[in-house]
Amino acid sequence: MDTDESLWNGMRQGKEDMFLELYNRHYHTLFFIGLKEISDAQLVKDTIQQLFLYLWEKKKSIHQAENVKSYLITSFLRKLTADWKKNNNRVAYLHVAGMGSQQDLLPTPEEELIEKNEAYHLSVTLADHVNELPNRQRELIFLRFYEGLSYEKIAEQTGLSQRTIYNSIHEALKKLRLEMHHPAKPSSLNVMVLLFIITLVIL
Amino acid sequence: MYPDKMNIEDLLTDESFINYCKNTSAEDVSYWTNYCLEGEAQRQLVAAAREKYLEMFYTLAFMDKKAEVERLRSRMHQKETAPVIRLDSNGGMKRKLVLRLLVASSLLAAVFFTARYFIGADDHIAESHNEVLTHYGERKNIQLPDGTIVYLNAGSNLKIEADFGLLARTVSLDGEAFFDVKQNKEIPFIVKTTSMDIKALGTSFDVKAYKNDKTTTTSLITGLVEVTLKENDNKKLVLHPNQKVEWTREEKHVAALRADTVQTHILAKREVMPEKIRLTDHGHVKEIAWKENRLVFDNDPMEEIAVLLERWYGVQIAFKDEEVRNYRFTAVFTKEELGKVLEFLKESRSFSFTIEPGEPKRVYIYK
Repeated sequence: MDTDESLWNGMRQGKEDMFLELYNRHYHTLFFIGLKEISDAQLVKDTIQQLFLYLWEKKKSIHQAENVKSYLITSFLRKLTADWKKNNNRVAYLHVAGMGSQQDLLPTPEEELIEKNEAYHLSVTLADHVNELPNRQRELIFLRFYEGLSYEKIAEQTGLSQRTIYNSIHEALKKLRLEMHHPAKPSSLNVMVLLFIITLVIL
Repeated sequence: MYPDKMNIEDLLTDESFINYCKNTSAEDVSYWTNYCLEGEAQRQLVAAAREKYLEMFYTLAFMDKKAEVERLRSRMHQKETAPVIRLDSNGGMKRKLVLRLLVASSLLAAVFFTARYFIGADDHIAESHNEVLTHYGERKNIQLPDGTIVYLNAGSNLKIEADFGLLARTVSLDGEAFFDVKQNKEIPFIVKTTSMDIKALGTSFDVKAYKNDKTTTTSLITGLVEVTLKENDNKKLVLHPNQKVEWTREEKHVAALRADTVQTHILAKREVMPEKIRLTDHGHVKEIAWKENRLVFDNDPMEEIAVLLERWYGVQIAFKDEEVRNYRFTAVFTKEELGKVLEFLKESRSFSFTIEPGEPKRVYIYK
């Protein structure tokens, strides 16, 4: 398995797959740290991408990094504060103002879950059935179980009542669970999952 | 809740249970740990629900990351840095010039424009918006709810009609955009502009329809589209790849003939046919060069070039000497800032210019 440092150097040399692997490896760390600071998932995702696009564009003039992960986190948080300020005239949250502190470098609960490497929990069938959910239910599933937003926060963001959200999620879960008993339908996700699992086994 | 009536869904919809799974609340962790101790059924239920939660979390996380990696990969390929500025002399003699350039302000302009240029294209998922606009000097890339990608050029406005994706996928455009339409045989994709409507099923094409321009152009790159000329008796044309159709509003002409209805009628049935998209001498397709971050001039008069530069860089250009309007230029620029572009054009056919700071910057062209 390539170290962060060797991926970083690969990026500097213009190796696209090493660059994308760097992104792949640190995406969730940055995503959940960002989400902790501001609850706008799309802004967080866009900021991460803009950071990486900038690195890719400037790859020739970038130096060797001492600690790739902390560099990425720091630059990302700095950019997030700047972009957040641009979009909102009010003062950035204290949390973000105190950015760069040790607090931010600690793993988020989600990152800890991911680090545990429980690859066998990935389900192709589940992914297919999530995609088959009606749009609203799929959105709520992602908000509650991926982004981890509370019912209150989801209500704020979607304008629905907590009761409605609760019921929709309950319904969606029923759909997902029942269908899990059916045999998996062939999909391109199969290949990706296989590669994902193989990669993790190799690690 | 009564233990024997609870099932996995009940646990998963409970915030405190998820907190237990994520270990984010000491209170919730101890509650559910104690619950497990109440009996074998309870322990098994908690274990099963926790496993389902993990399965969901990892699967959702994987799905999101996969989508984001793909999005990054495609954005990387849009921002290719091609080298080279090439310039063709236009048959005129090169003359020595006296530079009346204000170096300080042009350097400032160079830095400003370079920065703005690279910030230029942004990706947006337009699900919650039904209107996207770009200012002069700004470009945006948007993904529509059906997966269609729209590259919006400077000074443009795209409206997504209500009920997009149900019976039709309709947008309205004032400006210029390149559409990469997601295939859907059931639901046609329709672009409405003032003078023409374009219908596609799954193709890629460019539409240039600035309200301030007299000419509207649709250029087809791949696939098939049907163009309806709204100011030409709703005549329908089918475009094949590498064909384009141009419609020029001849308002003055129509106004003058308004008194004579017969002649207006004849004018309305003008013959308009698809034309072949010509490659420039350098092998570029002028109509979609902007999408590749290129400015392509193909024997174009300075008058037209000025309009293009105004939109591209978000500046205002004024001619202090009218004759420069008719100077013609052929050139290709890739990711260059305004000052450089004007400098190079000058080398081919001498004129001079100044760039004055301001919001927006003003450019004055002299002979």
